[in-house]
Amino acid sequence: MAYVATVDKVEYKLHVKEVEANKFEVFLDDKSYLVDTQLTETSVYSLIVNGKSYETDVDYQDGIYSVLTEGDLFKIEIMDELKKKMLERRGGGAAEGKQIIKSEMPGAIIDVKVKVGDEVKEGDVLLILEAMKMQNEIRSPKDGEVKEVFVNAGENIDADAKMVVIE
Amino acid sequence: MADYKEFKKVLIANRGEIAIRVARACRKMGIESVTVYSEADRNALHVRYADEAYFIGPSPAAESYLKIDKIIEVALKSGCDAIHPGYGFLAENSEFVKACEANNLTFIGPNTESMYILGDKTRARQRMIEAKVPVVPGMKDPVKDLDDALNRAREITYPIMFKASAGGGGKGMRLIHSEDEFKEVYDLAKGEALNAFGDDRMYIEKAIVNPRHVEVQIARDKHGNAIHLYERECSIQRRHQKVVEESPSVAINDEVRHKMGDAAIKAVTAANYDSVGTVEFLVDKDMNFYFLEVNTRLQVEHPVTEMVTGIDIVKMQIEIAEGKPLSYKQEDVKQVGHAIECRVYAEDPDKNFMPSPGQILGLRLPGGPGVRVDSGVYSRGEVPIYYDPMVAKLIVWDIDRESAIARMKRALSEYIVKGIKTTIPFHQKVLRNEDFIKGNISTDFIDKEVLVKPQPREGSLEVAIAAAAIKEYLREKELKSKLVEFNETCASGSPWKESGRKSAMFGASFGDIYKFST
Repeated sequence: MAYVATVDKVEYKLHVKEVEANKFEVFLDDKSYLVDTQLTETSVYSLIVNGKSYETDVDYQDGIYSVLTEGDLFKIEIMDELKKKMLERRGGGAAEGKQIIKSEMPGAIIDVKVKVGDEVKEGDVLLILEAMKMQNEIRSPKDGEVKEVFVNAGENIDADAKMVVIE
Repeated sequence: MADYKEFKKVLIANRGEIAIRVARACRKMGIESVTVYSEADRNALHVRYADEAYFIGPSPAAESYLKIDKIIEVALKSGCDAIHPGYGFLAENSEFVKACEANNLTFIGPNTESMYILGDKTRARQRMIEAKVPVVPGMKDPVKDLDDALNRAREITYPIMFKASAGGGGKGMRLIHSEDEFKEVYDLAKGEALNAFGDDRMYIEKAIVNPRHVEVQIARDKHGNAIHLYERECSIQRRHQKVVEESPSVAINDEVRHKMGDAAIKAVTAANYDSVGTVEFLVDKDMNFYFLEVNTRLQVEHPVTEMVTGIDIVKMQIEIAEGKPLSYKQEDVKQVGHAIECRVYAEDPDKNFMPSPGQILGLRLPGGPGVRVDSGVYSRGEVPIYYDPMVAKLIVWDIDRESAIARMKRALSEYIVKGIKTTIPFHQKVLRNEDFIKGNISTDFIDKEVLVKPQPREGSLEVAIAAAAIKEYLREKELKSKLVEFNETCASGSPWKESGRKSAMFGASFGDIYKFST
């Protein structure tokens, strides 16, 4: 399979070939690595690359891989090369347009600072969510207009609940 | 010989790692321990470390761990002599101490009088000024309203600190640079204080620029004997919460170290304090130090001092409460080598330190020489949303600071927590920062240094990419095999409906389905 990996806005082209069970040949740029992969604990992989042993902790969420190795976190987007080309032809990044602000965690809404129709700037505080004894200011990810507000002060919400829509 | 009692059974009015720490001290001393737990904590680790455990109410702390009557009832029913409050919750609540006394239970902490003096920052300042302990310039009494606050801030001149009178642990405390900023956060800060302490009185203090936060561990018994156990450097903070602590501090020399130790003893003696405690100071770049506050409890970071002095502080605290005289004299207390503690929080450092509660799916603790983990969690255990996000403390000791940093980096790289996000990767960044390595730190170090500047990476980018790509390959392969299974069993009718059904079943997008179905 041919992939494009994006790390810190830099693209890397690579190929993954399954040689036998748990053994892969990875071509990255002009180098090739023989990788022996074992899933040892929940999402913790032991990799042996050309004889060197590495431990990597790999999480996947919404198309982004978070890879922890040697105490460093790498955020890597892996995309099928064909799919990536297709998306580029269609144009447009994902961050444009409507942004639905969801809660990252369960908690209590302490205060809602905006109402439908308000103009907000990137970084403006939209609401205050309390969880684990801390009050967290939830800020707008972009300039725009508040289209919808789903929560009220005093309300308890679950993780992943819709809170505000900015467009 | 002074008269004292020996506790047979102690109730621990806390949860998490500190409840376990206290239970360990009790077990070592041959004292039976009793723990309490809320609805969310039936499966918590502290319940299993103690000899007895009793249910005290619903999950929110206000209905369980803060319920004085309930806790007293359990202590009496189970036949305890004393109650250890840990830190947080009821540890600095004088109502609780009174309730203990009224029921003939010993509170393992200071007497109510000294807690009354030191527990309120404005009262404590007053007493320190009288005892000639140096303090930070500022107003002693709480502000009346926004206008009053703005007037006072103008007088002291910005930057100022706006602090909750009943505060501590960084809650309800803000650094404010200008009048506009003050107007903006005034209500927010008061709201936080009201929520956290049920008291929204606030006062203003001059902010010392680039200060270092250095505190002195002290112990004073009921017979007036007092010692200090040297200092801890706690400058590495985020939102005024300590993140990394170490001992000794590189900010001070031996002369200042001894001066601070003496000042700390003077401070607690002025309040007739009789337990272990911590005197916090701000230290400026010229090694001037100013009294900040006394924490009248066992501190989160007490292990750092235990590692360099070899003294079991919890045991010492229990013995003082029993009425025993201190078993150490000042000249017996030696500060040897270097210790560092990293607090592991269930927070996502990549998402502005959002709390990250949930189930721990995998856990591997570091070990080896000089490594200590005080942890309140276990694999498959739940980190509830109701309590403080600190789940564990990782402490290392080595002969000097450089070796201790190397050992901490080694230990952090062994530490694996799955299922929830933690601050472990963030600690690696702190330890790799050149200014940290040089000891060139202040309380705004994290905001100015670690969060803004990219830190050197030691992990291999190639390996990370290879791991992610292999996982993507395996994910697609699994998705494909599920699809084949689906086609063989229940595919029929319109391709649109089928596609919808597939996407609902596999949680895959139409694009993915399209890719595999053609």
